[in-house]
Amino acid sequence: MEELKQKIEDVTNLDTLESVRVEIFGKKGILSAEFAKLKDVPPAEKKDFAKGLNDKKSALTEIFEAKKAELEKEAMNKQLESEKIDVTMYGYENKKGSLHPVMETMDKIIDYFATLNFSVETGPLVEDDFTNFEALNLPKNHPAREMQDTFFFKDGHLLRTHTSPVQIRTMLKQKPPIRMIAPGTVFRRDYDLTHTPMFHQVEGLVVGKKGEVSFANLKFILEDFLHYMFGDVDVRFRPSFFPFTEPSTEVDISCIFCEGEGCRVCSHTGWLEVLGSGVVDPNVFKAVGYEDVSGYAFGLGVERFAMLLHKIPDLRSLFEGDIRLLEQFR
Amino acid sequence: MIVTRSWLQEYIDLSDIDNDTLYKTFNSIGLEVDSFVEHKIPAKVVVGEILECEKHPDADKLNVCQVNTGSETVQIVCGAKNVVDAKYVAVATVGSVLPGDFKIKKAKLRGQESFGMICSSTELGLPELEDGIMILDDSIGELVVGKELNEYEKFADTVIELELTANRGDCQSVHGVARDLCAAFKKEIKSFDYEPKSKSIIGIAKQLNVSAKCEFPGLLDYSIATIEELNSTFLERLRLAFVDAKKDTVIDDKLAYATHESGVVLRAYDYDKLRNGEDSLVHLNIEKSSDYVVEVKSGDTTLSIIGVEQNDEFKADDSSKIVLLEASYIDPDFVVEGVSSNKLKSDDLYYIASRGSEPDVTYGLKLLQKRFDEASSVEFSSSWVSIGEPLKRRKIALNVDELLAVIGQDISKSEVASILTSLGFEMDRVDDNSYRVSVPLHCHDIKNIQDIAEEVMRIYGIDNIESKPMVLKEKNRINSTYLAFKAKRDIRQRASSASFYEAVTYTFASRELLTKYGFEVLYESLELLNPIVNELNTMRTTLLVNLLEAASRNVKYGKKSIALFELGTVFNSKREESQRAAFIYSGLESRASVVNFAKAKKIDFATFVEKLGSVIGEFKLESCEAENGLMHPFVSASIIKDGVKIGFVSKLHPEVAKDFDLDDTFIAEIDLEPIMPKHINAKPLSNFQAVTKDLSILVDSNLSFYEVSKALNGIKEEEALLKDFYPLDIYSDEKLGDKKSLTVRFDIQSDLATLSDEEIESVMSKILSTLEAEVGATIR
Repeated sequence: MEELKQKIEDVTNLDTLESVRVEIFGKKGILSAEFAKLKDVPPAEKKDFAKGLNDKKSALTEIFEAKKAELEKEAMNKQLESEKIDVTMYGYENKKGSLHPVMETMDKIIDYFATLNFSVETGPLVEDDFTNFEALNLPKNHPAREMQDTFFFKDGHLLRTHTSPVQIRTMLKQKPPIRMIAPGTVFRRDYDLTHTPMFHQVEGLVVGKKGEVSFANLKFILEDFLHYMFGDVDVRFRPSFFPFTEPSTEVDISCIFCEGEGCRVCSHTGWLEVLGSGVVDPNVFKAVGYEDVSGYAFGLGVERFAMLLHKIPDLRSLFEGDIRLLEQFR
Repeated sequence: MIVTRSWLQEYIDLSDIDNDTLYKTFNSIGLEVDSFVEHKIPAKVVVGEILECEKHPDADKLNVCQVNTGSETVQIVCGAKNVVDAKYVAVATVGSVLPGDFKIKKAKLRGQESFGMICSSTELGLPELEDGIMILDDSIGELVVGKELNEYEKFADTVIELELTANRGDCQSVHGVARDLCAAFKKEIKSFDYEPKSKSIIGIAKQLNVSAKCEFPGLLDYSIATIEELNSTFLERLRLAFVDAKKDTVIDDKLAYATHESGVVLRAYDYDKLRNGEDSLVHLNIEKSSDYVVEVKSGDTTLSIIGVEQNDEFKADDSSKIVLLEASYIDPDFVVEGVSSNKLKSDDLYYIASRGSEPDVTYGLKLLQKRFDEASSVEFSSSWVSIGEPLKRRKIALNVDELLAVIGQDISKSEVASILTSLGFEMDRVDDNSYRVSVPLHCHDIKNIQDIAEEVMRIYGIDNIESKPMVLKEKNRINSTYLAFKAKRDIRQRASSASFYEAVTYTFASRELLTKYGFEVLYESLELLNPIVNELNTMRTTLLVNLLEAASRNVKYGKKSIALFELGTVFNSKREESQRAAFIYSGLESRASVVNFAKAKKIDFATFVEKLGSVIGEFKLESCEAENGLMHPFVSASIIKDGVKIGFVSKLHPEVAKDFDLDDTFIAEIDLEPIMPKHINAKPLSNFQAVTKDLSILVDSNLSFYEVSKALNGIKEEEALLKDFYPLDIYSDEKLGDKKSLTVRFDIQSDLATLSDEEIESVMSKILSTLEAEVGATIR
């Protein structure tokens, strides 16, 4: 018995253990031979003999299972160790591309207003004079209508200079109440360090019954929107002038670079201008045939938002497909 | 518009208002502050009196001056030519420190001792006034020798540049800005009146006859000045320099000063040039030369177009002895229409007139008389000539509740009335809630209740208006446009996951480049009229040329692997817009690294197509002819989705790759609409095991797989057990001659039961017989 125990204990690998198992527990193994002796044992002793043999078998089985577990574990450890690689060499070959920061900023803006139940509307890039200018109360001699600011086509059409014509198209198509934004591409004839002939705007318009929509409502939503975009900034409204709104205001946020202390980006004023807005001018409603309504409108430049949010220094780099810039946004 | 604090002070008492408050108030009433410069004159720079001035014995260009600086008389050597004319000057005494950390010390110049410096304006950090040193006079206040110049508030002034929006014609003058500030600070504006020092006994009627030959929406005032001596004061020169309006002659300085202060358009004519020989009476006619153009004429000669420009020939200058002074006003809408419809050229004063100059022309002319009297000797005509019908104030019916609804704030009626009164509106009460409001003449753009709301709001203060959320009672506004934006975002996300960077390029293109590469271009008659540069002279009809240019730039930046995509608008020759997606992959698909055992891998057709698939979903390729110059004739395909051609994929033609300095490059351009995610209905799932079977056939070596797939799709439609198939392998060698061996793998599965061998066999034999019949395949 002790000898068999020792035999199992001495095994050092799973193959040997298997042959030891056959030798001890197999059909023709040592234990089978012992059990075969049972038939020759006198009946009175049979019970004790069998019991002794069974005890012996279970003791051996226990030792065997323990050994087996030990050896299996050892083998697994060996296998694991043999699979070892230098994992720190990997992870340098990321092939993900990225979304353009201007488009992502636009998405973020759309998300905000869509959540507040603004519809998203679009319109064509090639517009006519009525929709782009006249309906928006831009007087005939307004400087914006001159050749130096607007791209014209030979047939008198033009590239829209703002997303505001989408307001007009939507109002002509739908009945109030209206609550919409119009994100999109716009064009101005300007090309220098801080201007590109194409850029993006998001326009907003809310129209309700007369007396229903006020400047105070506009102030509320723009303050909330700017906090959503820029976090904990101060928001300032300044009276200003746009032909299609009256009263008109420009909206500033406290400079996010210097926190209002004054720096180069904010021209040492502590403020950054980010939005134009106002109460819709009655002449605009007249142009689309709306009566007894009130409304507000606002517009913003997406490039400016993207540049401020991500501290992108160069406007023109946004239109160059420059991977050195884009790969930072993976 | 640039103003200075001390200049404003002439119309509004600012003594209890500090610069910070002033700055904030300007912004809050809609006069945005562009810049705010507080000029500080360094300590120990004082008023000095030159007692003697002699040529330097050893230097032609230097003078040696004895200067009283209050506590003592010191010798100062000065290099400025005009020091010989000077009496009172600015002296930087020894120990003072000028801007730029310039310390004034005792010095010796060519052997002569010098105790200090006589200063020019720029040496004190002020704008340039004149050539040489500043010659002071008492226009800045009583000159006390030895008094520090920083104590003169007109000298150490605060200069404020305001950005005026187009509707604020009323603030194009110091007086106008002060008027607006008075409303904001609830102060009275200081009134102005002036009587000339010396008036001629002869009435103006003996010298001037003006007759209006037409009606026009404007006013003219004339006065005549006989000049013995005309000098500008130091303050005139200093302020004009502060506000960037300094002119070259004394008379132009005086006109500019009076215009800047009053906002009235002021001109001066040389009276002697207007006289016809010895005739002492000058006849002027006011005539319309066309619908919106009113001219001041002498006979057939145009002297000026009101509000637009003046004939140089008759302009008064510093040599003029008798000067005809003119103050004019013309309705801004009228003059703008006249200039633009007649394409008239115009001068600086037109800018003021076009935005609404000050209509009180009498005030302007009186102010000009005052300027002519300063430091000069002038005699004025005893009376005036005034032309034009008095202007009428616009009347607006104002319902206060309606006005407050625009603002959304409960402001008391008395406060509304008080704000409007302070801005010069006249309020006639109709009932508890309404007024008949008459608009001041200088507010030419206030035409309706919302315009008035703006006036109330800016003076009440936007900061004082409480933000209020709008109550929503409406259906949801999720529309197809919004869903399309979401879908596009999905596509963009997938593209970026498939290693493409999103590019945004101009919707413009170069017509030459589009033509060169065989793309359509806009019909000539629909083309851009005024492109900004030649390279962007048309609207793009493909996204790819722009992406190739972007890729090329990236090569210059040293990028070896360039994958870009863009979703954007393109046009056809009829200039109709559509949306497309374009993809470009150039150079390395993966760079050499430990991942690929240091062997870089270039992008190839198979990999590019696989990446496309992970962006746009399932599609098939059909071989095609090159449809533009970018495409490789033998490595290009139409992209077919749901049986419809939606775009193409191709290797970039090697010649084009050379044009753009690119390595192996693959391109694809696809209509956006068909790849937008679609609604999907799920099919029932089979619970029985699928069987995979491979079949190798021999076909003509130039037969495309697309033909094989068409035949197989036919079977798929009839045979429910055939679930899918795809090419597994292709093989050709000399023995096969003009045939190739094609192995296709089939997935066979039943939705109803486990397949029997017979059933599988039957499907496979159907496949084989179809291929034999339709593409001439034989079993290998």
